[in-house]
Amino acid sequence: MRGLLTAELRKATATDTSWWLLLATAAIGVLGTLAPLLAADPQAGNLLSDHRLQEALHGAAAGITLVVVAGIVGMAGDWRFGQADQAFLATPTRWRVVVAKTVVYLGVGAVYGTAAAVAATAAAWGWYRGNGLALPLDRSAVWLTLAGCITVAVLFGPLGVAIGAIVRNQSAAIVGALGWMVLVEPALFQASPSTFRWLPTMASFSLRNMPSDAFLPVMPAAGVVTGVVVAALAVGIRSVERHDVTT
Amino acid sequence: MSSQSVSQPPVACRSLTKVFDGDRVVDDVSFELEAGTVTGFVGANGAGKTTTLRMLLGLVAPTSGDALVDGRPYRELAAPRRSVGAVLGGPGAHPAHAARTHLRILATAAGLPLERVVEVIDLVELDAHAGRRVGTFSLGMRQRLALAAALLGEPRILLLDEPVNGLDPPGIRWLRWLLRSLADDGRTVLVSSHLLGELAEIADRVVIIDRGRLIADAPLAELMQGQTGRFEDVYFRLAGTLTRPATATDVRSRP
Repeated sequence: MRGLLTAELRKATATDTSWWLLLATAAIGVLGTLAPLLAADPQAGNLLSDHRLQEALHGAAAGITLVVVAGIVGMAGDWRFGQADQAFLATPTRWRVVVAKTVVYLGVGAVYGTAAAVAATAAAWGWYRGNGLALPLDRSAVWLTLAGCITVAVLFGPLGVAIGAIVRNQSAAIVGALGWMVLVEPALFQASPSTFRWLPTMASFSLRNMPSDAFLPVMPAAGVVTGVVVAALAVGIRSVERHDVTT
Repeated sequence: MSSQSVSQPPVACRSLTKVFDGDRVVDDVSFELEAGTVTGFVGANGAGKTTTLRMLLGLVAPTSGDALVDGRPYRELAAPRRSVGAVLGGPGAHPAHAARTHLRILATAAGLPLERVVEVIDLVELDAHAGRRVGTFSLGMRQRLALAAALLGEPRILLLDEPVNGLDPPGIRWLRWLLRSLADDGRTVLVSSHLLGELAEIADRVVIIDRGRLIADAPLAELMQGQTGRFEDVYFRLAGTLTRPATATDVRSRP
Protein backbone atom coordinates (compact mmCIF):
# COMPACT_ATOMS: atom_id res chain seq x y z
CA MET A 1 0.00 0.00 0.00
CA ARG A 2 2.92 2.31 0.70
CA GLY A 3 4.14 2.08 -2.90
CA LEU A 4 0.65 2.72 -4.18
CA LEU A 5 0.26 5.78 -1.93
CA THR A 6 3.61 7.13 -3.10
CA ALA A 7 2.67 6.53 -6.73
CA GLU A 8 -0.67 8.30 -6.36
CA LEU A 9 0.99 11.21 -4.54
CA ARG A 10 3.57 11.46 -7.31
CA LYS A 11 0.79 11.36 -9.89
CA ALA A 12 -1.06 14.20 -8.15
CA THR A 13 1.97 16.43 -7.74
CA ALA A 14 3.28 15.81 -11.27
CA THR A 15 0.09 17.22 -12.79
CA ASP A 16 -0.01 20.95 -13.52
CA THR A 17 -3.75 21.03 -12.91
CA SER A 18 -3.22 20.30 -9.20
CA TRP A 19 -1.00 23.36 -8.81
CA TRP A 20 -3.25 25.68 -10.82
CA LEU A 21 -6.25 24.59 -8.76
CA LEU A 22 -4.26 25.22 -5.58
CA LEU A 23 -3.40 28.71 -6.77
CA ALA A 24 -7.01 29.38 -7.77
CA THR A 25 -8.33 28.11 -4.41
CA ALA A 26 -6.03 30.50 -2.54
CA ALA A 27 -6.81 33.41 -4.88
CA ILE A 28 -10.57 32.91 -4.58
CA GLY A 29 -10.10 32.64 -0.81
CA VAL A 30 -8.47 36.08 -0.84
CA LEU A 31 -11.30 37.55 -2.92
CA GLY A 32 -13.91 35.85 -0.73
CA THR A 33 -12.32 37.39 2.33
CA LEU A 34 -11.79 40.89 0.97
CA ALA A 35 -15.24 41.23 -0.64
CA PRO A 36 -17.24 41.55 2.64
CA LEU A 37 -14.52 43.69 4.20
CA LEU A 38 -14.43 46.11 1.28
CA ALA A 39 -18.22 46.34 1.39
CA ALA A 40 -18.15 47.14 5.12
CA ASP A 41 -18.22 50.71 6.40
CA PRO A 42 -14.93 51.29 8.28
CA GLN A 43 -16.60 53.99 10.33
CA ALA A 44 -19.36 51.69 11.58
CA GLY A 45 -17.28 50.53 14.49
CA ASN A 46 -18.11 46.83 14.37
CA LEU A 47 -15.17 45.68 12.28
CA LEU A 48 -13.77 43.54 15.06
CA SER A 49 -17.03 41.86 16.04
CA ASP A 50 -17.15 38.06 15.92
CA HIS A 51 -19.83 38.29 13.25
CA ARG A 52 -17.69 40.49 10.99
CA LEU A 53 -14.58 38.35 11.49
CA GLN A 54 -16.45 35.13 10.70
CA GLU A 55 -18.13 36.67 7.68
CA ALA A 56 -14.78 37.78 6.29
CA LEU A 57 -12.63 34.75 7.09
CA HIS A 58 -15.13 32.12 6.04
CA GLY A 59 -14.35 33.54 2.59
CA ALA A 60 -11.20 31.42 2.83
CA ALA A 61 -13.44 28.57 1.75
CA ALA A 62 -14.96 30.45 -1.19
CA GLY A 63 -12.85 28.44 -3.62
CA ILE A 64 -13.09 25.18 -1.73
CA THR A 65 -15.27 23.60 -4.43
CA LEU A 66 -12.05 23.45 -6.43
CA VAL A 67 -10.81 20.81 -3.98
CA VAL A 68 -13.66 18.65 -5.22
CA VAL A 69 -12.52 19.36 -8.79
CA ALA A 70 -8.97 18.29 -7.86
CA GLY A 71 -10.30 15.01 -6.46
CA ILE A 72 -12.38 14.40 -9.57
CA VAL A 73 -9.38 15.06 -11.82
CA GLY A 74 -7.30 12.71 -9.67
CA MET A 75 -9.76 9.84 -10.10
CA ALA A 76 -11.68 10.37 -13.35
CA GLY A 77 -8.54 11.66 -15.07
CA ASP A 78 -7.24 8.09 -14.92
CA TRP A 79 -9.98 7.08 -17.34
CA ARG A 80 -9.54 10.14 -19.53
CA PHE A 81 -5.92 9.39 -20.38
CA GLY A 82 -5.89 5.60 -20.10
CA GLN A 83 -4.04 5.69 -16.77
CA ALA A 84 -6.78 3.48 -15.31
CA ASP A 85 -5.42 0.57 -17.37
CA GLN A 86 -1.98 1.03 -15.89
CA ALA A 87 -3.27 1.58 -12.35
CA PHE A 88 -5.38 -1.58 -12.37
CA LEU A 89 -2.71 -3.66 -14.09
CA ALA A 90 -0.34 -2.86 -11.23
CA THR A 91 -3.07 -3.17 -8.58
CA PRO A 92 -5.80 -5.51 -9.79
CA THR A 93 -7.66 -5.26 -6.48
CA ARG A 94 -9.14 -1.97 -7.60
CA TRP A 95 -10.55 -0.80 -4.28
CA ARG A 96 -6.98 -0.36 -3.09
CA VAL A 97 -6.40 2.23 -5.83
CA VAL A 98 -9.48 4.20 -4.75
CA VAL A 99 -8.44 3.99 -1.09
CA ALA A 100 -4.93 5.21 -1.96
CA LYS A 101 -6.37 8.15 -3.89
CA THR A 102 -8.71 8.91 -0.98
CA VAL A 103 -5.78 9.12 1.42
CA VAL A 104 -3.75 11.26 -1.00
CA TYR A 105 -6.64 13.66 -1.61
CA LEU A 106 -7.29 13.97 2.12
CA GLY A 107 -3.77 15.40 2.16
CA VAL A 108 -4.34 17.45 -0.99
CA GLY A 109 -7.48 18.90 0.66
CA ALA A 110 -5.45 19.78 3.76
CA VAL A 111 -2.86 21.56 1.64
CA TYR A 112 -5.49 23.46 -0.38
CA GLY A 113 -7.41 24.39 2.78
CA THR A 114 -4.30 25.55 4.59
CA ALA A 115 -3.13 27.57 1.58
CA ALA A 116 -6.55 29.23 1.30
CA ALA A 117 -6.63 29.92 5.06
CA VAL A 118 -3.15 31.46 5.05
CA ALA A 119 -3.94 33.57 1.98
CA ALA A 120 -7.26 34.73 3.43
CA THR A 121 -5.65 35.58 6.78
CA ALA A 122 -2.92 37.56 5.07
CA ALA A 123 -5.49 39.47 3.01
CA ALA A 124 -7.60 40.22 6.10
CA TRP A 125 -4.53 41.21 8.10
CA GLY A 126 -3.53 43.66 5.34
CA TRP A 127 -7.02 45.16 5.15
CA TYR A 128 -7.33 45.61 8.91
CA ARG A 129 -3.85 47.10 9.09
CA GLY A 130 -4.77 49.50 6.29
CA ASN A 131 -7.66 50.66 8.44
CA GLY A 132 -5.48 51.12 11.50
CA LEU A 133 -6.63 47.94 13.21
CA ALA A 134 -4.97 44.65 14.16
CA LEU A 135 -6.53 41.34 13.12
CA PRO A 136 -7.15 39.55 16.44
CA LEU A 137 -5.64 36.18 15.62
CA ASP A 138 -6.17 34.94 19.17
CA ARG A 139 -9.95 35.22 18.91
CA SER A 140 -11.85 31.93 18.54
CA ALA A 141 -14.02 33.52 15.85
CA VAL A 142 -10.88 33.71 13.73
CA TRP A 143 -9.24 30.37 14.25
CA LEU A 144 -12.43 28.33 14.47
CA THR A 145 -13.49 29.76 11.12
CA LEU A 146 -10.11 29.00 9.54
CA ALA A 147 -10.00 25.52 11.08
CA GLY A 148 -13.51 24.89 9.71
CA CYS A 149 -12.43 25.93 6.22
CA ILE A 150 -9.49 23.51 6.35
CA THR A 151 -11.73 20.71 7.67
CA VAL A 152 -14.16 21.18 4.78
CA ALA A 153 -11.27 21.09 2.31
CA VAL A 154 -9.96 17.86 3.87
CA LEU A 155 -13.40 16.25 3.46
CA PHE A 156 -14.02 17.60 -0.05
CA GLY A 157 -10.86 16.04 -1.55
CA PRO A 158 -12.12 12.47 -1.00
CA LEU A 159 -15.60 13.60 -2.08
CA GLY A 160 -14.09 14.52 -5.46
CA VAL A 161 -12.39 11.11 -5.65
CA ALA A 162 -15.73 9.44 -4.94
CA ILE A 163 -17.54 11.48 -7.60
CA GLY A 164 -14.78 10.68 -10.11
CA ALA A 165 -15.07 6.97 -9.30
CA ILE A 166 -18.83 6.99 -9.75
CA VAL A 167 -19.08 9.14 -12.90
CA ARG A 168 -15.67 8.35 -14.51
CA ASN A 169 -16.25 10.92 -17.27
CA GLN A 170 -14.08 13.78 -16.02
CA SER A 171 -15.89 16.65 -17.76
CA ALA A 172 -19.35 15.40 -16.80
CA ALA A 173 -18.23 14.87 -13.20
CA ILE A 174 -16.78 18.39 -12.89
CA VAL A 175 -19.75 20.11 -14.51
CA GLY A 176 -22.21 18.05 -12.48
CA ALA A 177 -20.42 18.60 -9.17
CA LEU A 178 -19.93 22.33 -9.65
CA GLY A 179 -23.50 22.77 -10.89
CA TRP A 180 -24.84 20.95 -7.86
CA MET A 181 -22.66 22.73 -5.32
CA VAL A 182 -22.76 26.25 -6.74
CA LEU A 183 -26.25 26.41 -8.27
CA VAL A 184 -28.63 23.64 -7.23
CA GLU A 185 -27.96 23.43 -3.49
CA PRO A 186 -28.00 27.22 -2.90
CA ALA A 187 -31.21 27.52 -4.93
CA LEU A 188 -32.88 24.74 -2.95
CA PHE A 189 -31.65 26.28 0.30
CA GLN A 190 -33.10 29.64 -0.68
CA ALA A 191 -36.43 27.95 -1.35
CA SER A 192 -36.58 26.10 1.97
CA PRO A 193 -33.66 26.65 4.37
CA SER A 194 -34.97 24.38 7.10
CA THR A 195 -35.23 21.42 4.73
CA PHE A 196 -32.23 21.87 2.49
CA ARG A 197 -29.71 22.88 5.15
CA TRP A 198 -29.17 19.11 5.41
CA LEU A 199 -27.60 19.02 1.95
CA PRO A 200 -23.81 18.52 2.09
CA THR A 201 -22.63 21.85 0.66
CA MET A 202 -25.05 23.76 2.88
CA ALA A 203 -23.95 21.67 5.86
CA SER A 204 -20.36 22.57 5.05
CA PHE A 205 -21.21 26.25 5.56
CA SER A 206 -21.76 25.68 9.25
CA LEU A 207 -18.46 23.79 9.46
CA ARG A 208 -16.88 26.92 8.01
CA ASN A 209 -18.42 28.89 10.90
CA MET A 210 -20.68 30.90 8.60
CA PRO A 211 -22.50 33.41 10.84
CA SER A 212 -26.11 32.43 10.24
CA ASP A 213 -28.78 30.66 12.27
CA ALA A 214 -30.26 29.18 9.12
CA PHE A 215 -27.55 26.50 8.93
CA LEU A 216 -27.25 23.31 10.94
CA PRO A 217 -25.33 23.29 14.22
CA VAL A 218 -21.70 22.25 13.76
CA MET A 219 -21.89 18.65 14.98
CA PRO A 220 -24.87 17.52 12.87
CA ALA A 221 -23.30 19.37 9.93
CA ALA A 222 -20.03 17.49 10.43
CA GLY A 223 -22.01 14.25 10.52
CA VAL A 224 -23.83 15.10 7.29
CA VAL A 225 -20.68 16.00 5.34
CA THR A 226 -18.69 13.03 6.66
CA GLY A 227 -21.61 10.68 6.02
CA VAL A 228 -22.03 11.88 2.44
CA VAL A 229 -18.30 11.48 1.77
CA VAL A 230 -18.20 7.95 3.24
CA ALA A 231 -21.36 6.89 1.39
CA ALA A 232 -20.11 8.34 -1.90
CA LEU A 233 -16.78 6.53 -1.48
CA ALA A 234 -18.56 3.24 -0.83
CA VAL A 235 -20.61 3.68 -4.01
CA GLY A 236 -17.51 4.75 -5.93
CA ILE A 237 -15.49 1.73 -4.83
CA ARG A 238 -18.33 -0.61 -5.71
CA SER A 239 -18.68 1.05 -9.11
CA VAL A 240 -14.96 0.78 -9.88
CA GLU A 241 -14.90 -2.87 -8.80
CA ARG A 242 -17.93 -3.83 -10.88
CA HIS A 243 -17.40 -1.96 -14.14
CA ASP A 244 -15.22 -3.21 -16.97
CA VAL A 245 -12.24 -1.03 -17.79
CA THR A 246 -12.69 -0.59 -21.51
CA THR A 247 -11.02 2.73 -22.28
CA MET B 1 8.70 -20.13 -10.34
CA SER B 2 5.86 -21.81 -8.46
CA SER B 3 4.89 -25.41 -9.00
CA GLN B 4 1.56 -24.16 -10.32
CA SER B 5 3.22 -22.13 -13.06
CA VAL B 6 5.28 -25.18 -14.08
CA SER B 7 2.21 -27.36 -14.56
CA GLN B 8 -0.05 -24.72 -16.09
CA PRO B 9 0.31 -23.02 -19.46
CA PRO B 10 1.48 -19.41 -19.03
CA VAL B 11 -1.72 -18.11 -20.63
CA ALA B 12 -4.97 -19.96 -21.23
CA CYS B 13 -8.43 -18.98 -22.44
CA ARG B 14 -11.05 -21.63 -21.79
CA SER B 15 -14.49 -21.26 -23.37
CA LEU B 16 -14.03 -17.54 -22.89
CA THR B 17 -17.11 -15.51 -23.68
CA LYS B 18 -17.99 -11.83 -23.32
CA VAL B 19 -21.36 -10.34 -24.04
CA PHE B 20 -21.70 -6.54 -24.23
CA ASP B 21 -25.30 -5.33 -24.44
CA GLY B 22 -26.47 -8.61 -25.95
CA ASP B 23 -23.60 -8.70 -28.48
CA ARG B 24 -21.25 -11.71 -28.12
CA VAL B 25 -17.97 -9.94 -28.83
CA VAL B 26 -15.96 -12.97 -27.68
CA ASP B 27 -17.69 -16.30 -28.18
CA ASP B 28 -16.44 -19.51 -26.59
CA VAL B 29 -12.77 -18.87 -27.36
CA SER B 30 -10.19 -21.39 -26.13
CA PHE B 31 -6.46 -21.37 -26.70
CA GLU B 32 -3.23 -21.69 -24.78
CA LEU B 33 0.12 -20.00 -25.19
CA GLU B 34 3.46 -21.70 -24.83
CA ALA B 35 6.55 -20.35 -23.14
CA GLY B 36 9.35 -19.34 -25.46
CA THR B 37 7.09 -18.54 -28.40
CA VAL B 38 5.73 -15.48 -30.15
CA THR B 39 2.05 -15.94 -30.92
CA GLY B 40 0.34 -13.68 -33.44
CA PHE B 41 -3.23 -12.75 -32.52
CA VAL B 42 -5.06 -11.86 -35.69
CA GLY B 43 -8.54 -10.61 -36.49
CA ALA B 44 -10.40 -7.76 -38.15
CA ASN B 45 -11.48 -4.65 -36.24
CA GLY B 46 -14.13 -5.70 -33.73
CA ALA B 47 -13.16 -9.36 -33.96
CA GLY B 48 -12.68 -9.48 -30.17
CA LYS B 49 -8.89 -9.34 -29.87
CA THR B 50 -8.73 -6.38 -27.48
CA THR B 51 -11.60 -7.67 -25.36
CA THR B 52 -9.86 -11.04 -25.08
CA LEU B 53 -6.63 -9.35 -23.99
CA ARG B 54 -8.51 -7.19 -21.47
CA MET B 55 -10.17 -10.28 -20.00
CA LEU B 56 -6.76 -11.94 -19.65
CA LEU B 57 -5.57 -8.79 -17.84
CA GLY B 58 -8.49 -8.65 -15.44
CA LEU B 59 -9.76 -5.34 -16.83
CA VAL B 60 -12.91 -6.85 -18.33
CA ALA B 61 -14.87 -9.58 -16.55
CA PRO B 62 -15.73 -12.63 -18.68
CA THR B 63 -19.43 -13.37 -19.06
CA SER B 64 -18.44 -17.04 -18.88
CA GLY B 65 -15.32 -19.15 -19.21
CA ASP B 66 -11.85 -18.54 -17.85
CA ALA B 67 -9.01 -16.21 -18.72
CA LEU B 68 -5.99 -17.53 -16.86
CA VAL B 69 -2.40 -16.48 -16.34
CA ASP B 70 -0.25 -19.17 -14.73
CA GLY B 71 -3.44 -21.06 -14.01
CA ARG B 72 -5.25 -18.30 -12.18
CA PRO B 73 -7.17 -15.10 -12.96
CA TYR B 74 -4.94 -12.03 -13.33
CA ARG B 75 -6.52 -10.44 -10.25
CA GLU B 76 -5.17 -13.26 -8.12
CA LEU B 77 -1.54 -12.86 -9.18
CA ALA B 78 0.71 -11.89 -6.29
CA ALA B 79 2.97 -9.59 -8.32
CA PRO B 80 1.14 -8.99 -11.60
CA ARG B 81 3.66 -6.56 -13.10
CA ARG B 82 6.42 -9.12 -12.62
CA SER B 83 4.32 -11.81 -14.29
CA VAL B 84 2.69 -9.93 -17.16
CA GLY B 85 3.60 -6.88 -19.21
CA ALA B 86 0.94 -5.37 -21.43
CA VAL B 87 0.56 -2.79 -24.16
CA LEU B 88 -3.04 -1.68 -24.61
CA GLY B 89 -3.29 0.88 -27.38
CA GLY B 90 -0.90 3.45 -25.92
CA PRO B 91 1.19 4.29 -22.89
CA GLY B 92 -1.71 5.18 -20.58
CA ALA B 93 0.17 8.25 -19.46
CA HIS B 94 -1.00 11.75 -18.54
CA PRO B 95 0.07 14.00 -21.43
CA ALA B 96 1.56 16.53 -18.99
CA HIS B 97 3.80 13.94 -17.34
CA ALA B 98 7.35 13.41 -18.52
CA ALA B 99 8.05 9.92 -19.82
CA ARG B 100 10.44 9.29 -16.94
CA THR B 101 7.86 10.48 -14.39
CA HIS B 102 5.23 8.20 -15.90
CA LEU B 103 7.49 5.17 -15.62
CA ARG B 104 8.55 6.10 -12.09
CA ILE B 105 4.87 6.26 -11.07
CA LEU B 106 4.25 2.81 -12.56
CA ALA B 107 7.36 1.34 -10.97
CA THR B 108 6.50 2.77 -7.57
CA ALA B 109 2.92 1.49 -7.71
CA ALA B 110 4.17 -2.00 -8.62
CA GLY B 111 6.91 -2.03 -5.99
CA LEU B 112 9.65 -2.23 -8.62
CA PRO B 113 13.10 -0.67 -8.19
CA LEU B 114 13.43 2.75 -9.83
CA GLU B 115 16.65 1.60 -11.51
CA ARG B 116 14.44 -0.38 -13.85
CA VAL B 117 13.07 2.91 -15.20
CA VAL B 118 16.50 3.88 -16.50
CA GLU B 119 17.03 0.40 -17.91
CA VAL B 120 13.77 0.24 -19.87
CA ILE B 121 14.18 3.79 -21.14
CA ASP B 122 17.53 2.73 -22.55
CA LEU B 123 16.08 -0.50 -23.90
CA VAL B 124 13.35 1.27 -25.91
CA GLU B 125 15.83 3.95 -26.97
CA LEU B 126 13.93 6.86 -25.43
CA ASP B 127 16.81 8.10 -23.27
CA ALA B 128 17.12 11.34 -25.24
CA HIS B 129 13.44 12.12 -24.68
CA ALA B 130 12.82 10.80 -21.16
CA GLY B 131 12.37 14.30 -19.73
CA ARG B 132 9.84 15.36 -22.35
CA ARG B 133 6.10 15.48 -21.76
CA VAL B 134 4.27 12.50 -23.20
CA GLY B 135 1.81 14.86 -24.88
CA THR B 136 4.59 16.04 -27.21
CA PHE B 137 5.52 12.49 -28.27
CA SER B 138 4.97 11.09 -31.75
CA LEU B 139 2.86 7.95 -32.06
CA GLY B 140 5.99 5.86 -32.44
CA MET B 141 7.53 7.32 -29.30
CA ARG B 142 4.30 6.68 -27.41
CA GLN B 143 4.45 3.05 -28.50
CA ARG B 144 8.02 2.77 -27.30
CA LEU B 145 6.97 4.25 -23.96
CA ALA B 146 4.12 1.74 -23.74
CA LEU B 147 6.61 -1.06 -24.38
CA ALA B 148 8.91 0.36 -21.72
CA ALA B 149 6.03 0.23 -19.25
CA ALA B 150 5.26 -3.36 -20.24
CA LEU B 151 8.89 -4.38 -19.69
CA LEU B 152 9.29 -2.63 -16.32
CA GLY B 153 8.72 -5.74 -14.23
CA GLU B 154 10.82 -8.02 -16.46
CA PRO B 155 7.69 -10.11 -16.97
CA ARG B 156 7.65 -13.69 -18.23
CA ILE B 157 4.53 -12.97 -20.27
CA LEU B 158 3.90 -10.11 -22.69
CA LEU B 159 0.45 -9.33 -24.06
CA LEU B 160 0.78 -6.64 -26.73
CA ASP B 161 -2.16 -5.06 -28.52
CA GLU B 162 -1.08 -3.50 -31.81
CA PRO B 163 2.45 -2.63 -30.64
CA VAL B 164 3.61 -1.98 -34.21
CA ASN B 165 1.15 0.92 -34.71
CA GLY B 166 3.00 4.14 -35.34
CA LEU B 167 6.49 2.64 -35.37
CA ASP B 168 8.73 3.70 -38.23
CA PRO B 169 10.59 1.05 -40.26
CA PRO B 170 13.63 1.03 -37.93
CA GLY B 171 11.23 0.84 -34.99
CA ILE B 172 9.41 -2.14 -36.51
CA ARG B 173 12.72 -3.87 -37.11
CA TRP B 174 13.78 -3.12 -33.56
CA LEU B 175 10.48 -4.49 -32.18
CA ARG B 176 10.89 -7.65 -34.26
CA TRP B 177 14.33 -8.15 -32.73
CA LEU B 178 13.06 -7.40 -29.22
CA LEU B 179 10.14 -9.83 -29.35
CA ARG B 180 12.29 -12.55 -30.86
CA SER B 181 14.94 -12.16 -28.20
CA LEU B 182 12.32 -12.14 -25.42
CA ALA B 183 10.82 -15.36 -26.73
CA ASP B 184 14.26 -16.92 -27.14
CA ASP B 185 14.80 -16.02 -23.49
CA GLY B 186 11.88 -18.30 -22.61
CA ARG B 187 9.19 -15.64 -22.32
CA THR B 188 5.67 -15.94 -23.66
CA VAL B 189 4.68 -13.25 -26.16
CA LEU B 190 1.23 -12.61 -27.62
CA VAL B 191 1.08 -9.88 -30.28
CA SER B 192 -2.11 -8.68 -31.88
CA SER B 193 -1.72 -6.81 -35.12
CA HIS B 194 -3.41 -5.95 -38.38
CA LEU B 195 -0.08 -6.09 -40.16
CA LEU B 196 -0.24 -9.67 -41.32
CA GLY B 197 3.05 -9.58 -43.19
CA GLU B 198 4.75 -8.23 -40.10
CA LEU B 199 3.23 -10.93 -37.91
CA ALA B 200 4.36 -13.60 -40.33
CA GLU B 201 7.89 -12.33 -39.82
CA ILE B 202 7.89 -12.76 -36.05
CA ALA B 203 5.19 -15.26 -35.02
CA ASP B 204 5.85 -18.91 -34.28
CA ARG B 205 2.18 -19.58 -33.82
CA VAL B 206 -1.02 -17.85 -34.89
CA VAL B 207 -4.40 -17.49 -33.24
CA ILE B 208 -7.07 -16.09 -35.54
CA ILE B 209 -10.46 -14.89 -34.38
CA ASP B 210 -13.31 -13.56 -36.44
CA ARG B 211 -16.53 -12.01 -35.10
CA GLY B 212 -15.61 -13.23 -31.65
CA ARG B 213 -14.99 -16.86 -32.62
CA LEU B 214 -11.74 -18.73 -32.81
CA ILE B 215 -11.09 -19.87 -36.36
CA ALA B 216 -7.47 -20.98 -36.21
CA ASP B 217 -4.89 -21.88 -33.59
CA ALA B 218 -1.82 -23.50 -35.07
CA PRO B 219 1.90 -23.07 -35.63
CA LEU B 220 2.47 -20.62 -38.47
CA ALA B 221 4.71 -23.07 -40.31
CA GLU B 222 1.94 -25.66 -40.20
CA LEU B 223 -0.63 -23.20 -41.55
CA MET B 224 1.68 -22.13 -44.34
CA GLN B 225 2.75 -25.66 -45.27
CA GLY B 226 1.99 -26.35 -48.91
CA GLN B 227 0.73 -22.80 -49.43
CA THR B 228 2.13 -20.81 -52.29
CA GLY B 229 0.73 -17.47 -51.16
CA ARG B 230 1.53 -15.22 -48.25
CA PHE B 231 0.13 -15.47 -44.73
CA GLU B 232 -2.31 -12.75 -45.74
CA ASP B 233 -3.83 -15.10 -48.34
CA VAL B 234 -4.11 -17.87 -45.75
CA TYR B 235 -5.80 -15.49 -43.35
CA PHE B 236 -8.42 -14.36 -45.85
CA ARG B 237 -9.09 -17.95 -46.81
CA LEU B 238 -9.92 -18.66 -43.19
CA ALA B 239 -11.50 -15.53 -41.84
CA GLY B 240 -15.23 -15.59 -41.55
CA THR B 241 -15.66 -18.93 -43.26
CA LEU B 242 -15.31 -21.57 -40.60
CA THR B 243 -17.62 -22.72 -37.84
CA ARG B 244 -14.89 -24.52 -35.89
CA PRO B 245 -11.22 -23.79 -35.26
CA ALA B 246 -9.14 -24.45 -38.34
CA THR B 247 -6.19 -26.77 -38.53
CA ALA B 248 -3.40 -26.80 -41.04
CA THR B 249 -5.34 -29.45 -42.93
CA ASP B 250 -8.28 -27.08 -43.35
CA VAL B 251 -6.06 -24.49 -44.93
CA ARG B 252 -4.46 -26.97 -47.32
CA SER B 253 -7.81 -28.37 -48.39
CA ARG B 254 -9.17 -24.98 -49.36
CA PRO B 255 -8.65 -23.53 -52.80
